[in-house]
Amino acid sequence: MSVTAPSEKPAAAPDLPRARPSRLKVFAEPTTLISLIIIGGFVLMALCAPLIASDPIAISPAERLDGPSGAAPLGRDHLGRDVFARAVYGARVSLSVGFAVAALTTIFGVAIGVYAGMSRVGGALVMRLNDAMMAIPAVLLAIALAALFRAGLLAVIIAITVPEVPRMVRLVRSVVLGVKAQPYVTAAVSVGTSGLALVFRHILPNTLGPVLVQATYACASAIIASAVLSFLGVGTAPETPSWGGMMADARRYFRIHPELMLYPGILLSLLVLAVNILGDRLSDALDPRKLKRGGL
Amino acid sequence: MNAPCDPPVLTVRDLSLQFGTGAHRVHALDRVSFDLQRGKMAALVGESGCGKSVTAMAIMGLLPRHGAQVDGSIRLGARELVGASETALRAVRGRRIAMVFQDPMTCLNPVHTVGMQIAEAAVHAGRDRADARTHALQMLDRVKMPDARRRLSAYPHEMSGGMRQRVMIAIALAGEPDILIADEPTTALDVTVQAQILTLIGDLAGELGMSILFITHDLGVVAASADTMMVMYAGRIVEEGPVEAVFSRPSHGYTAGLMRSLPSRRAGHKAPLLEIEGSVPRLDKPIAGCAFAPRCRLAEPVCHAPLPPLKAVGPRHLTRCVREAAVYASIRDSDIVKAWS
Repeated sequence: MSVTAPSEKPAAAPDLPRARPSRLKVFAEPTTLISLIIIGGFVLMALCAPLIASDPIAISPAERLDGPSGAAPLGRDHLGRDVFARAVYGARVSLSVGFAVAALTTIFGVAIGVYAGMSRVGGALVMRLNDAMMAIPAVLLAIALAALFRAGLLAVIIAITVPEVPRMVRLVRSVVLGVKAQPYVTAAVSVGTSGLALVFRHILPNTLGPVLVQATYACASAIIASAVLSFLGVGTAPETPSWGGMMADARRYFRIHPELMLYPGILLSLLVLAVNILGDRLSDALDPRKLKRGGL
Repeated sequence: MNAPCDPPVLTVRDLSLQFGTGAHRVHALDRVSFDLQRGKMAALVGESGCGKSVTAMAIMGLLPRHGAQVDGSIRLGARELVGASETALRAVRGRRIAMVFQDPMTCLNPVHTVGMQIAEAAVHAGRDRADARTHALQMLDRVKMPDARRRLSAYPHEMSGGMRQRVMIAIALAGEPDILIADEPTTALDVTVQAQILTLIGDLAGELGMSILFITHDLGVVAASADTMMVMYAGRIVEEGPVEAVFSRPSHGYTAGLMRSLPSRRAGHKAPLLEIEGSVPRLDKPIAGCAFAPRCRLAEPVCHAPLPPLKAVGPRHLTRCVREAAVYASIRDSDIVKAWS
């Protein structure tokens, strides 16, 4: 046929059978392992927060801005709250926003993106709407949306998901258009595969790699966005411990106590970095053609 | 061939195909007509871009709905395929007509095991899911895949080109079609593997009583395996007939040109390899006369006049060439023609 995939053509496949490389092999690599351990550590920290830290909300004005002590290993903030406890509990907001936004973005983005890729007229309409959405800066849209609802975790999740979905839609649509033109899709149609089976069996699995990467990027950017919203005061309620809120509070004392801003900043960067690395490694692992080249 | 009263399984009549609109219009096929007989192999021969593959795509209903204008008729038994709904076509694809594609490297889905892909075709052909895997194994055995049971759970990238082409054939056979369209199935393969795949397709056709439309640019392949042949040039069938009739009495300038450009063993390896001068005409304007005339060494002014209907030069042997007698005279002494006479 006239359609040939440009670069995907493998040079020469070995004729002899060999053990199939396991997709799980990726988890044995040092970079993946380290990022997994970091993310796992954060999850564990968020889950076991009551066991390892004291009350993050209790204020103690007498001890405000005190340095590290036995009760508060990282010192206390301007209201005398335990910085360590707030940092530990802050992981809850970041992680739940990150995971929830990634999941919701994937569900809506893939559904809309596949529709846009498969339907000619509907697709064009969806994409113009999508372009309009993307013209609004994500953070502005999130602030506007967050302001519409009562402050809370759900409001933050919705506010961040809405501007994140169009990116996923655009990616999924372009991948679907590419996969749709692949000879193996034509070949599948030629044996009688019908619309839905074609989408679920042949098109969706081949979009998995890019979608997964985009989902991790969405997760990472949602973690940052939630910190931004908290920092600006439109995120979760002020007493709820969050890294963004901690940085906002610490800003006024930056000159005398820069470490108050540093702790949540470090945790935030570490988590985002780990999530991004994991996404990259997973996208390599999910592409069977890459396994063959021994690139892993 | 000795039962001409048998109705053909597939009848193509005046199939025309145009891509694009206005100034970008391309006349890809011009009134193509042929029959496919039950259990026979018909070869569609021609060079790249002459319309072989789009003919196959038109039969399968795989041409884009927008931008491709199909006229004429493709009848499968009593069923008309031109303009048929997607649902009607789906019932035909796989079960009645299946296709083996040119490039086995890109025609298998990289994310599924070959067993799953064969089973899927079987399910679409109406088998239940539990049965499909056993059927897939049978199909792999049928295409003589070594160590078939283990290959079921292999991914396409773990296989060689020849093995993948066997898998493609197994997928095509999974729906037990009446007609198999093989679109240059050996072009992407090594010469030794080519022979194996050709033998396999020939054997399967015999075993299963399938009709085969074999699309190729290789006259050697045609001579070795086909029953009838259609020579295609610039979207038209220029000569057709039983293989032995066409080889023993080439009756179109283009057919003769193709035969002349085959390397001959007798002439020795020092003999120059002949080619057809010039290049394929552009298809953006309909050509009134013989499309091959500008490249034909025997062309006369009459060749540029509007085309006469096909002319019989032997039993079921038809040509579009008005100078067929001169063409035959010019090539009758060649090795190939002598060998077939």
